[in-house]
Amino acid sequence: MAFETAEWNMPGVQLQSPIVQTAVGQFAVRIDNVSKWYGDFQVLRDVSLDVKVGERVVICGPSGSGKSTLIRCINQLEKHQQGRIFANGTEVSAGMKGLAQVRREVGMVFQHFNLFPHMTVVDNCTLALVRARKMTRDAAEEVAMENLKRVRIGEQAKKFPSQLSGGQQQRVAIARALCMKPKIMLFDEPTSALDPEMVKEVLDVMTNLANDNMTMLCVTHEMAFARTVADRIVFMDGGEIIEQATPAEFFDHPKHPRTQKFLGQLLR
Amino acid sequence: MNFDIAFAARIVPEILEGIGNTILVAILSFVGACALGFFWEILRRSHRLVRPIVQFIIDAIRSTPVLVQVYFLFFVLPYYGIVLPAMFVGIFGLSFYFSGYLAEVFKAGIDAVSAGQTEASQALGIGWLDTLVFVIAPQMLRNVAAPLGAYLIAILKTTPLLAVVTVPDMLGNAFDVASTTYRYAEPMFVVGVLFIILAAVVVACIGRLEKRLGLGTRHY
Repeated sequence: MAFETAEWNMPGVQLQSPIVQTAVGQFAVRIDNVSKWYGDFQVLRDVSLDVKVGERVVICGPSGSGKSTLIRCINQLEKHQQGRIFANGTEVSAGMKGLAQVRREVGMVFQHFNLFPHMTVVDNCTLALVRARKMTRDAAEEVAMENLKRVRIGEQAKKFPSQLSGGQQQRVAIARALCMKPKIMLFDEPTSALDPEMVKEVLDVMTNLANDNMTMLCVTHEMAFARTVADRIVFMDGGEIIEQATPAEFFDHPKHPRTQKFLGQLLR
Repeated sequence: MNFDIAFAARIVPEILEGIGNTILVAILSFVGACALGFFWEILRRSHRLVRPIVQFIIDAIRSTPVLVQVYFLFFVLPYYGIVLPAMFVGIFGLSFYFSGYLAEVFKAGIDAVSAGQTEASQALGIGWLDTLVFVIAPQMLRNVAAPLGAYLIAILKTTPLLAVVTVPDMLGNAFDVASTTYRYAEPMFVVGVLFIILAAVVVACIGRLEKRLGLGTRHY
């Protein structure tokens, strides 16, 4: 297979890493040689990662390896200092114009849900539709109810987040993101803050999303989920991508010693 | 000089005439101080180059006595052709002075809202103004309700200072009584008691408002 520098979606944009030439817009996310520092500490080291439309990618690795930072750079909740990031074909950067428009197409689910505590579940879902998409209240509520039912929590629409369990809150957070009809969903350790008995209901919703062909990029420690749902697993350590492979390859024949060590610690 | 209770009771109506102005000035100054204080705080957060300038303004406001600021507005500005009515000077002066303090209250109130709230709103593509109005401000208000009440009472207690720029209020009326009768004990005593009653009413109102809004008892 011939590797060449792709000229992708934007004339004159030369990506540094060798990437197989593909049709325009086939990538939901392109991360090209991205580096980031917190002061003197380098959190991301020349990371390059592409996510194709419809692909499910799981990022795992020890804490402090830069997983969350990486996906938070995609919608610029964190700014990268070197390299380029494209989300749904648009390059994102610090202080860019139109960042809000890019973010509307990129759904994000947080570890701590980050629901708006002063609003009911349905209002949590309609806020962005009304304020950012300029939909009418009625139309927004219809979309919200549709997505709340999709995560099987429609009957709780009039409650406040504090009246729900952690698992229910996280499902609301997923519904809230889905309301914007995002082209890709980013999950930042969505089950890490949950009690064990609530993990499954959230993973079930995520699995259903995957079955609906949603493009997903998940940072998670749920290895069973990764094995069954992911098309590709990316292992990060020390701000670098150490290894990426299909789940079968990754779990059964990890190549890099650090990957082996990480998996060894998990299984024990 | 003996304290004359009958005289004290007799002058209550005259002094009480000023209570309307006291309440009016206090409420308008409070609203003005809140608006200006919130404006300072938003400006302070807007840009890293703006920040030190706004910080200097807030510090300067807080470092000068309110009396100096009011004197400046009422007695100095006319030298430069700017003559402002006493009532305006009073309300603007108190608004300006307390805005410096309220900016700090709003700062703490916003800081207490988790960063995840802003992130969630940004991630949904909601603009900064909508994020401020619909996500941050409502949660901030819960955090600042109690200190805001305290500042309303502080402003109320500062209104008599405006007697020096001829804003007619309860203290001004008490001075009038004192200067015509040469008795100070009773008028000052009456003013003090009336302020205690006024403050008690305000405290009761704030308490009811907090209860009504479900403040204090966070249900999240």
